[in-house]
Amino acid sequence: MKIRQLQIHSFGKLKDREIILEDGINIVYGSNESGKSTMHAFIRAMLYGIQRQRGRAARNDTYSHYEPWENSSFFSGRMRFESGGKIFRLSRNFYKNDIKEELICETDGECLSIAQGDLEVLLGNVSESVFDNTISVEQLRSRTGDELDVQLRNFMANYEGSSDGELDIEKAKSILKAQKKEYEQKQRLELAKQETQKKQFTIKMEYVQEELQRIEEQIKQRKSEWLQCKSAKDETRHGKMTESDRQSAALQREIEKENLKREQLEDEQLRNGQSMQEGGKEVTKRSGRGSLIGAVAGILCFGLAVISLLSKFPGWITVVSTILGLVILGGLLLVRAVSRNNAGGVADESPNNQEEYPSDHQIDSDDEFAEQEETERQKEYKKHLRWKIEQLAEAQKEKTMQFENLQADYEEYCSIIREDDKNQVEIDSITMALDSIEEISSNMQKYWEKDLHQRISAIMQEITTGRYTGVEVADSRRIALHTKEQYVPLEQVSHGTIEQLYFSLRMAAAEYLCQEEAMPVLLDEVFAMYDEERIQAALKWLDEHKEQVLIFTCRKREMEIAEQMNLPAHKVLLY
Amino acid sequence: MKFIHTGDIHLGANPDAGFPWSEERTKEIWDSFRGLIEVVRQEGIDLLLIAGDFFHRQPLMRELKEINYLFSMIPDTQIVLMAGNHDYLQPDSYYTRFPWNDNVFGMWEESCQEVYLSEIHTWVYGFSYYEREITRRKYAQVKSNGKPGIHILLAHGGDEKHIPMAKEELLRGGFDYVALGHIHRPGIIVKDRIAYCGALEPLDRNDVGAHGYIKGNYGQEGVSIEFIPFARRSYVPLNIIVEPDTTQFSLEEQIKAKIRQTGKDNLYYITIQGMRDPDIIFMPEYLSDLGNITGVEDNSKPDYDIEKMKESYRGSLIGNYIGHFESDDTPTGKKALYYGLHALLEAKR
Repeated sequence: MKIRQLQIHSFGKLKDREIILEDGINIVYGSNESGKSTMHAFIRAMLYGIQRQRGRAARNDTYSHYEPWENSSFFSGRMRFESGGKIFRLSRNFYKNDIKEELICETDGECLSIAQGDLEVLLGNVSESVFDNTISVEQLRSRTGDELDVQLRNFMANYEGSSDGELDIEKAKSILKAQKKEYEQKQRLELAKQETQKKQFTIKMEYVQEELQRIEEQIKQRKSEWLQCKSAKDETRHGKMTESDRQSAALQREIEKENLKREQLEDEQLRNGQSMQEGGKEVTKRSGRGSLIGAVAGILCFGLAVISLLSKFPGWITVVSTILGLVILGGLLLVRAVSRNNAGGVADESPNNQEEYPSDHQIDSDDEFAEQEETERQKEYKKHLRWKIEQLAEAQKEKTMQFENLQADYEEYCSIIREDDKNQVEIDSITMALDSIEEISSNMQKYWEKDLHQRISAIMQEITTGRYTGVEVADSRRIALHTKEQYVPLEQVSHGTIEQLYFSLRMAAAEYLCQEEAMPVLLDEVFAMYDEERIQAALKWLDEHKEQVLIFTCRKREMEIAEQMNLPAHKVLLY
Repeated sequence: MKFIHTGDIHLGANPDAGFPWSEERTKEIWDSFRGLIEVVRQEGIDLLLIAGDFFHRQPLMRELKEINYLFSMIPDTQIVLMAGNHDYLQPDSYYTRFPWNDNVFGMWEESCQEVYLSEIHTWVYGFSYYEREITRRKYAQVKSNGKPGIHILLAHGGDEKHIPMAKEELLRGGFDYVALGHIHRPGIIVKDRIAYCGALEPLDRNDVGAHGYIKGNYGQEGVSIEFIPFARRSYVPLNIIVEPDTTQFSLEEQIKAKIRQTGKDNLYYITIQGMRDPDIIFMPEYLSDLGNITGVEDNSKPDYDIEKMKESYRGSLIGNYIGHFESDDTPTGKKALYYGLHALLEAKR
């Protein structure tokens, strides 16, 4: 592609200009502020359009920079160029309210579509970024205040990783790492908050559990009280119990206790109360048997009283046997009433609680012969114990349920927070971004490294007329040059040499990135640091290798040297 | 015959655990149910149907005492209960053992039972959950007995793991009305015939929209129902659209205004959408203080013209980077694209 003509209607400080460009070397000469950089920017804008930055960045973007102060609607231009032997006319209006673009092949009158990518093809698929990084060269300037060699080293490092000398990959990575760190910090805070919440759940659970333990303790205590009460009774009943009898009875009690505990935990069929009702019936039946025996005893006593009355026994015997008979009968009635109450109460109110206290079976078999000996107080106390144990068992059940509910709440909370970690999404995304940049960059680097260094060396050798024979890049941070005699680290060479190396790098990269189409080379004050000899070598190289070159300069040196060399250079004067 | 159909009250739930309003919500759920009983009393409702998940977990004895007390305040109302998947009948559930008032009927059987309420000439059918999940289509076989009177099915479930059902199956049962529970969002499945009452109070941020109960009447023309909003608060999804000139402050003002407009007691989930200035990253943690905010999701995109950028940066890292994410449509991938792009452009300035 060769640029033939530029028509600038209004672009920055340039107005109503027509500039003709030729094959080979064009030297655009003008003093400072004459519009050389504007012309350079105009060519770029014609080729790629002006993309507006958005948001705050729009205030000093290219558009605002070159938008005319007056008559913004003339913010437009035209370019004629040659490609594949045909002439094309490219027109653009940059004005934001009236953006227009048009591409016409003047040779055959065909109207082409920029939107469909026709221009892209004519530009050999050289993107704006590649244009900026290869064929459009500005003087290597130190913007950060670094030395020029540092600047070049960075450029080269960036270049190799991204094909973009301006793009500092390390900086991008550190921005991402800082963002990631921020989210990790937020996540930690969030996690700490959640831990506090979890702690609140566990505190509640622990509290209920403590209560549960207390209740269990009380149940145990009541039960052992009940058993003591029973064994005391046993002893009075079987006054002459042998030691071995006593031991086996104690063992039996232990077993019963264990059984109770087990039943308490495992017995599930009792929930419908059926078994309890059966138990209740048994109570009635058994106390029935007790009463039968009592009745017999009562009748016997009564008989004794009648006999004593009839056969003139002393009066006190009659009185004693009568009272005995009445006491037994009274006791009998009381026992019946109690056992009915128990049976009824258990069956009606809490049919599930049989397992909570010693079974009725035990009570009744014990009661069988002991009834008469047991005082009212003892019975009341036992009744109270039974009731107390029932109450406790009920409380135990409720607490257990409460504990399980809390546990379920806790688990629900944990699952909600697991699903809801928004910070993790951000962290994952940033990690993915970092990994991708790393991967793409190292792929690009691999692609470069093989040939780029060799090509830079070759160009460098040509434009230094053999003074430097090679460029060595150990890693992108350590660059050195070879002369025939010695090895010179980059930081020891002159500014001019660094500029030459930079130029070589650009031209080498251009050969790789702009292979499809020979593009014009735009050099903006690139030779400012060159001595005469170097300029000669550079012009010679450009003349031999490039089809069209635009050299923007504020000195006459380039023109003079070209004349001395008899190079056919076209001069463009800007005022 | 006037009836109220409610369910999914989830007494005892503590919604949004960890948020400042959580405990208050636990109390509000109870208060709301108490309020409903008051409505029943004032309006002289004949039948109160509670379609499962009355409690969030296993009810405790003391809780049932409270409930039974409330039920004793409406002695002229017949109340029919069932256990749902949350408060399913465990072996020692207090539901079955509790000495309920005479006006309370629990459908505590595992297979379908019917109860006849002679005062209102109504048959109610139903059964309870005995486990958390039931995948059998248990309602497909349930039919009304065809005797004279009003026939109502009280049912709970409707998703894959909780008795899947189809409206055709329910319609075949020959009921005058099917009172459904389990789905928290109220919805009328077949007009005046089958409906979800929805949760009385919304329970988490998925329970958006109005919540309340269904009021029904059986008259000359059969059943007619209407949804009555009753919940004290709503979960409101707040979609905020940002533009490239939106800043953190203007975003906050925008949210404040919306909350003022929609009610400050409501619970908001903020989703940020639209195109933002690429240099601005919103700080969701500062938005949480603007009201009852249950969460913030920033889905805004930096205002990049990705297509254009891909073209301009073709052949360089940025171009390749955009290309790398082109086919990645996952949320993480999209976010990664923007994070990376922002950092790369920032590193170029």
